[in-house]
Amino acid sequence: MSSQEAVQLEERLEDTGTLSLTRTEAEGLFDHRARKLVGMSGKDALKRIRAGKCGSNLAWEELSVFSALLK
Amino acid sequence: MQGTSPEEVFSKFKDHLNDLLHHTITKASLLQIVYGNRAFLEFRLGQTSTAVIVGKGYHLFLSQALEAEKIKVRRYKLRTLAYAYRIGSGPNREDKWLIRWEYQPSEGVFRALHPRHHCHLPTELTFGRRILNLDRLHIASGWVTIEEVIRFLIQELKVKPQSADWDFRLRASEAKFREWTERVV
Repeated sequence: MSSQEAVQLEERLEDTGTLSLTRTEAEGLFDHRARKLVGMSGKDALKRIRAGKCGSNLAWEELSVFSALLK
Repeated sequence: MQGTSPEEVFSKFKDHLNDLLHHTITKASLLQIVYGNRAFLEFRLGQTSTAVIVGKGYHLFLSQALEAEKIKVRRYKLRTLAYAYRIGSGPNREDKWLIRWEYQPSEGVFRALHPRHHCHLPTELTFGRRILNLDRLHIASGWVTIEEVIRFLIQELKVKPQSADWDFRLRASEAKFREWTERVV
């Protein structure tokens, strides 16, 4: 999923109040937010979160809660 | 919780939580992302997570991740997978904050060893010869519900409630939370 598509999802979320995502969209949106919040890919960020090595600053905390969306 | 699908259950839960917020501390509404049997709730503005003003200069950041487990036909049990609540002075994460409550799982694929339910305080505490940084420490807190955070804002921080029956609404919401999640808190 491209960055532009992820931005469109974010816009749709704010317009409608609810988003229902496919797996590709969920992973794409997580990747988009990870790059924005902590400056790394979604895959790398998820590895750190699941390993308990992501620190406890606010950006990581926000991303950690969002990561629970992914199985 | 009654529903024909996780999506319907999450929609009902979002409406319930927004109704609770609107009658207690804010007219702002939570947005929801659903993926399969999981959902994520937060306040958003300008394509970023935000904290919303609740009165007296306090802002509330709230995010929750949930799972809906089917237990019978048209019946689901809700499970909170993670939460983050923060009371701060402004809408952004750079703004000063007063307290953060968080819950992250430590089972399954998650490997963190700190207390799962914890809070942070933006201060240092001198304890004997040690200086403890309460911002970095994960202080064990037990399960903190959003109802208790709202109660803290109204009763302790003197945020003006949106309705006179705020206490009744919080108690009713806690009862629903226990029913929907089968939790005892």
